[in-house]
Amino acid sequence: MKLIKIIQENCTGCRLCEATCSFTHFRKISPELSRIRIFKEEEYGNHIVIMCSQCEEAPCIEVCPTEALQRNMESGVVMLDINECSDCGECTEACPIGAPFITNLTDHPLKCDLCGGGEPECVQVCDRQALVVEDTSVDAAHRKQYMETASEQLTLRLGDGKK
Amino acid sequence: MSDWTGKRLRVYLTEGKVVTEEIPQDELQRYLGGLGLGAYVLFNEVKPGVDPLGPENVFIITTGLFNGTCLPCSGRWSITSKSPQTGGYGDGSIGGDFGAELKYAGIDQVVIYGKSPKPVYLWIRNDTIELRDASHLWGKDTWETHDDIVDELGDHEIKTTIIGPGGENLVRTAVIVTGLARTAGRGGLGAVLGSKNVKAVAVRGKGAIEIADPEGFDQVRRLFYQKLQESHHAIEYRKKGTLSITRGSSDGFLVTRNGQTGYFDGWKNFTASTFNEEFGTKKEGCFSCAISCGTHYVVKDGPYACTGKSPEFGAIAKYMSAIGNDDLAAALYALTLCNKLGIDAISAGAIIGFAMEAWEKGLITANETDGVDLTWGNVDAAIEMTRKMAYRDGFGDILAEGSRGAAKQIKGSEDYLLEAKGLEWISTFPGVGHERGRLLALATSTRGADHLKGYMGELVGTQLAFDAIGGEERAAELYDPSNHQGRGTLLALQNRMRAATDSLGMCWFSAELQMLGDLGPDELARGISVVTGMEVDRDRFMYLGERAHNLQKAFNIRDGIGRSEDAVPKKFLVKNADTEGVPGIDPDKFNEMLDEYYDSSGWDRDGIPTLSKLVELELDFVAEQIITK
Repeated sequence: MKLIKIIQENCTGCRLCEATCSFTHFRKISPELSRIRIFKEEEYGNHIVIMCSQCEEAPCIEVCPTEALQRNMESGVVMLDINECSDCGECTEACPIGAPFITNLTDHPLKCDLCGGGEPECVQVCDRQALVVEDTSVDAAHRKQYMETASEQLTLRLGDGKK
Repeated sequence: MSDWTGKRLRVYLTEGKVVTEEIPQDELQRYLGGLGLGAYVLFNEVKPGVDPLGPENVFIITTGLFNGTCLPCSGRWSITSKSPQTGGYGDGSIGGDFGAELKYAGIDQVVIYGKSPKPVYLWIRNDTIELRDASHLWGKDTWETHDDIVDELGDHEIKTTIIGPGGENLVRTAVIVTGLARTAGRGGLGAVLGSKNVKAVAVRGKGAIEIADPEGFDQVRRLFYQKLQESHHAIEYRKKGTLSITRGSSDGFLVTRNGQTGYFDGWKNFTASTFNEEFGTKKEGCFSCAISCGTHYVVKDGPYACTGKSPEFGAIAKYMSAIGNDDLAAALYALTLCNKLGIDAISAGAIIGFAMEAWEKGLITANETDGVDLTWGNVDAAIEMTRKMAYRDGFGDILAEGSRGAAKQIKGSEDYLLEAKGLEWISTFPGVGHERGRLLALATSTRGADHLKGYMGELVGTQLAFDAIGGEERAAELYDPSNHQGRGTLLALQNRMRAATDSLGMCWFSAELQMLGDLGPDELARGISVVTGMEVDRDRFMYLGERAHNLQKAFNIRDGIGRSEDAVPKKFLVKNADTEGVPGIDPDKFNEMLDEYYDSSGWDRDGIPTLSKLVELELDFVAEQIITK
């Protein structure tokens, strides 16, 4: 299975991924419509890249009351069926990095679907390879590490109640 | 549906009132955004003779047409105002995330009038717009101010544009700062905000941008991205940033000791590789950038310990070669200081270089400089003087007037000025070859001695140049350094391209050197078509750029800034410079170049746009104001 590997150290904070993601899925452009979000840290460039890493044990699937979130066994991608989704926000709460994003612009959370296969659009425009496609068997440990690090970074950033 | 939000804010500070209005479609189509739309509003709103630091001046923020889209390198936006440094047209193109955020808030332009009775900052949160008290921020540096605003408003994703103590103290080289280290830039526009008691503009936008032709756009964005992966020019900047420009070769390239020479022994101390090895950390990019030329830096310890980012060649060279300093750590420290204090590092370093030359010539002594020893290479003195300038403390108060202003108070120093229209010269020396041709660009730039309105050499070798100049064979003559012909024609062409590119918010590093594979007018015109739905081709693109450039020029002409101000610093005017192989330019050759440039631009020999040119450009309203004969 091939998934996106997130290498935060490589991120330059350009956010072309955000703009591209929203355009790809909505034909409109807004970070609010993106399934990947970059929280910029301007002084040292330690930007936080937040996107679903398709966890092996996905808390979002477990908490979804309508079973709108299901794993596609073939691709490994956790898919959101927006017809089943009640927009309750439980998945966002359950995710350690809040990666299904709630927004006023849609009536369901935004969740990465890897653009339905192949090379996702955000990866194609990530000039510095902060996003790469890799076989899950190779990067399982890295994905776990990413979730832990990003979660800690977010807590630090949002610890004071800001978002 | 198009990428234009079509919304303009008019902020009346004196009355404390904000009005939102629709921008007429016709205005958008003729001026696009960024530089063009800013220049149009400035021309109409600021009458001749207005004091740049008085309440009648306006300060304009305009998004670039492509801001916020996923076209790579489209994050640049513009500020426009009458310049406190040149007394003429002033603007700046600036990157970071602010322009995109403004688009997402649904706003294309903010025009700020009058003067607030007390310090304020403008807070734009989608449709909610508010002037907030900034008394507690006044006096703080730009970094502290950003943090305080984020704390106060409770949102880390807020983007800000801020002035530092430099702007507050009406320093004529004051900048605005976004994202800690992105500045605009030249001409002292930060002081205009200071004069209006505006400390900052903060924005948070959560809306979406519409695209007129999504399918066409999808192709164009891929084309842009692909081209920038292959462009040799982009590849170079991606690897090294603008410090890749630093060189010490035989052509005498670096303004050294206020332009006494073009050769600097310490040049290796500020090459891209030295910087990256010793201080560079992570790469950084503006919104949507596929190059990320910027680099964060950390000077870990010692007297110059600091953090910062984007050490651009133009600024670093001013605190290295221009003052005779060898120590890169000190120059990085000075750059961070300038960004925090909100003054232009290029001008600040250049002014100190000028003062050092005055010191060397004995025109000033420790009596005048508050005891600061301005000997060449004394970088600690330069740092101290930078601070004094931002706070207008002692001798710093004189330097805060810019070098031309300072020269009026330092008897006998005029001969050592290195500026045009009052704006300090950039960091490259007019040695030989294209660098000599560049003299024309710097002398004639609408905002003073700066290369960003047009720049020699970029077009050499392109089809555009061949067409303009009468074929490939003639264009080859441009490679001959002693040849002065053709350069005026190319510069006139370049002005148009640059003005259009700056209206779109496209970074020059993506559209500068087409012979090295960058984006050109054909691609950019296609971009306009797909985001707006308005059919634009290369000719229309150049036409729109020409209109925008003529507006800048007309603004200056209307304020009495004409041929006599399209001038080269005295020290670069050297009789028979080219035949004798010395730096500088022969005055007669310069005048020939200037004539050719004016002719190619459709201006008369006084540099005034002709009636027929203005009619051709549908700028009749401009003609009424500048043609008196």
